Amino acid sequence: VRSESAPDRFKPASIIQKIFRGFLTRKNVRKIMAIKKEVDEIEARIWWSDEVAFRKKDGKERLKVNEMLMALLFVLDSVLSVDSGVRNLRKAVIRKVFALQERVDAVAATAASADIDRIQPEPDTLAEEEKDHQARD
Amino acid sequence: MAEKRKREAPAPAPAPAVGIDLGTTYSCVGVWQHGRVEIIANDQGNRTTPSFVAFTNTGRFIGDAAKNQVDMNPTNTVFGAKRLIGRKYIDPSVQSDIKHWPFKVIPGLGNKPMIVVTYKGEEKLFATEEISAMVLAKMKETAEAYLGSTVKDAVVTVPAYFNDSQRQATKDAGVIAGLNVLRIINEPTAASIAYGLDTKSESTGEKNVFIFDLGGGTFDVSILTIEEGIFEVKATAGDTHLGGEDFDNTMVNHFVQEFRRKNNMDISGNPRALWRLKTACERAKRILSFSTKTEIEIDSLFQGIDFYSTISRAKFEELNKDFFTKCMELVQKCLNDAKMDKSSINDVVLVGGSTRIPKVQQLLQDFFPGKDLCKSINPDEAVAYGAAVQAAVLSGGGQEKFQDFVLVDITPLSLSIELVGEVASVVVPKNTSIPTKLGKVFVTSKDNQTVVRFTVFEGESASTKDNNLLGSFNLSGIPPAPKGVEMFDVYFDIDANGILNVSAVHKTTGQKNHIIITNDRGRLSKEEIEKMVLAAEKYKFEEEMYKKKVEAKNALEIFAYRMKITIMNEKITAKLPPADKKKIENAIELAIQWLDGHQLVEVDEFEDQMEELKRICKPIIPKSYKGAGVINDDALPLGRSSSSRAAPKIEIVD
Repeated sequence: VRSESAPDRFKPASIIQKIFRGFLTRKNVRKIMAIKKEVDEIEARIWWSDEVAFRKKDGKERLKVNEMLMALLFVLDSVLSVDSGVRNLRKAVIRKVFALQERVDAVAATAASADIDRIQPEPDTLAEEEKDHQARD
Repeated sequence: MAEKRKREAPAPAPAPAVGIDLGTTYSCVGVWQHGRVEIIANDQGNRTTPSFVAFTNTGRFIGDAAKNQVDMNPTNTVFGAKRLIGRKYIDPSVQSDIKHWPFKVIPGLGNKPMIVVTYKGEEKLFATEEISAMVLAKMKETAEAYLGSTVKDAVVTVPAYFNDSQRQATKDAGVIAGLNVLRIINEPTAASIAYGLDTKSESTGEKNVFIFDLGGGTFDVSILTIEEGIFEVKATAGDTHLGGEDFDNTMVNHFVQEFRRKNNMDISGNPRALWRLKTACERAKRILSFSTKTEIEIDSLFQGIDFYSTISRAKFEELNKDFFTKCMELVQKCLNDAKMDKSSINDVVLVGGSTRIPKVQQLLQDFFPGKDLCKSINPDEAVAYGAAVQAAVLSGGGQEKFQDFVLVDITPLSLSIELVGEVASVVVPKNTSIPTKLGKVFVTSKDNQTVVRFTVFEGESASTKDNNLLGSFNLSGIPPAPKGVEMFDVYFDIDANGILNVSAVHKTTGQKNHIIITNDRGRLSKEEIEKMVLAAEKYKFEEEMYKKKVEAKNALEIFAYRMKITIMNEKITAKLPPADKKKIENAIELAIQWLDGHQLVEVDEFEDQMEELKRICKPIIPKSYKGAGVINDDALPLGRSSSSRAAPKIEIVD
């Protein structure tokens, strides 16, 4: 009797799991995309304020941007990856946050008139990668 | 111990009195409202606020904002002021704490520790009371924002082991923050009040309560006896440096080693990586309180390397085994100090976030078999909860179900008389409940001694060298006699206000003398407090002015840039006469240049500039908007939709 019912029990279990994994993936992707939106807003803000160069004089603004980026990073770290797709998406956003952090740090470094070579972000490659993942969703 | 613990006549209070738990790492505020306690969330929506104050070139931050920027501004971010308050700079505990703090502490007048920070480009000195006052002021503001009215009265809690100067200093901090501190109460007392253990006790007579408080940075255990609403602290024990952060740190160390094993790299030199790991560990710790296993996933933790790992509850417990053992040892020590058997404990109260850890609860349950653990109130909020109840009682805002509280306190330290060779002879042992009067007989130490000096110390060391000198007095006119013949009765009399009166009487002649030791040792003078109150108001005013300036500046900046982007949009400007376009462009350019040259001027000036720019832009913008099909003239394009973000520079990134 047992061997007969086993396949029957696997089937609903796999259906449940499939639906649950789908739900988790959608939920986490939604979370990551929400953060990405915030990251984009910060990015716009950085470009903007860089134009005015008020950032260099105003340490508070710099701290604020850094603080916001760090907070977003913590949230990203809390999103569990369900599969490699979600993981890659999360990674891409994290890399973007890093690029922005480095940018802010670079501005800070120039503000402190320190001549340190910083790695500049590469917006082009990043943009491509993200398009990739968005297509996968 | 300084407080007179009798209920005062209830005064009519317009705004309710609040209860504040002023913690080492976190603070919490509550208020009695609509027949129950409401714990008040701060402007960030958090029900506890970090006890952090940060100073920067542009301003001051308190609470979450201060804690969030600690990584970037460590030397000017002050925390743990509670470890300093009311202590002397030379205090060994102060000395060892200072070593671990990134901010600078120096000895000030009367050996008071002073905190040195750079604030607005200037080096500034702050007393510990002032820093605590800033945290209290933040809690006051939080309550005011919620209640919509000014808050004046508050009950503030302190650890049961706080000595008098620490209590007084906390009270002074309240005054500087603009609060009328109705009473300073002990944290374990507040927690017991929160669970209503005082009211329940009426039917059963005397009741012994064990309070286990494992917070973020400190661990305190205390035993209270409650009888007919009277609280008596029987004993306290604890570790001032044991708490949730230690559990996080052992996990961080564990993962740092794991990362080293896996990748042969050391991340401990990278603060941002460590910070991410620490945050992830803190989260994992919380998850492990209700789940038996959790994962840690940190992408690009260090040099682009991802870090994925799992941790089980069992592993977490094993990593922190020593800490848990230590907790239970201190539980036993406290019972020993109180000369009580664990079977005589009626209730066990859990306080502090770390008491959520299942292992801690299990160890306690095993230690006190058959006892229910009081854990229904959020352990982070239990103290503030009880303080809020007490505040309601004291301000008369509470209901009749509150009975009069009379809190009995203890001497936190032993009080002694110095003998020959710097030996301390204890007259009042620590944990003696006050008011009390205790005596001891002393004899002369030399032949033909006519003058005897009585020196009073507080502290636990057998040698007076390591204890705290309280004062001394002489008794003269003793008839010459061989040493050890002349006898003196010495009495230590401590009243309900914690004022100590030491008197000595010569047995044969009846000669006597005494000294009164009040509790204002090491306190700020009235003038100093007044000066600090003014300074605190000044800081607050400056902050508000600064906020207004920033708002005005941002408004102008945003407007100018929106206009700049609008004018660059050819769809909008196509129908614009070139002369008008030029005029707007000039005005915008001028405004931007002006902004560049003027960092933070008076609010009026920003507003004047704004008016001017609006005046120039307004007659033109709506006109061109109509052409582009945009009707609402308040809704300026940038940021409204993605299509309007047409600035070329932004497009590159998008």
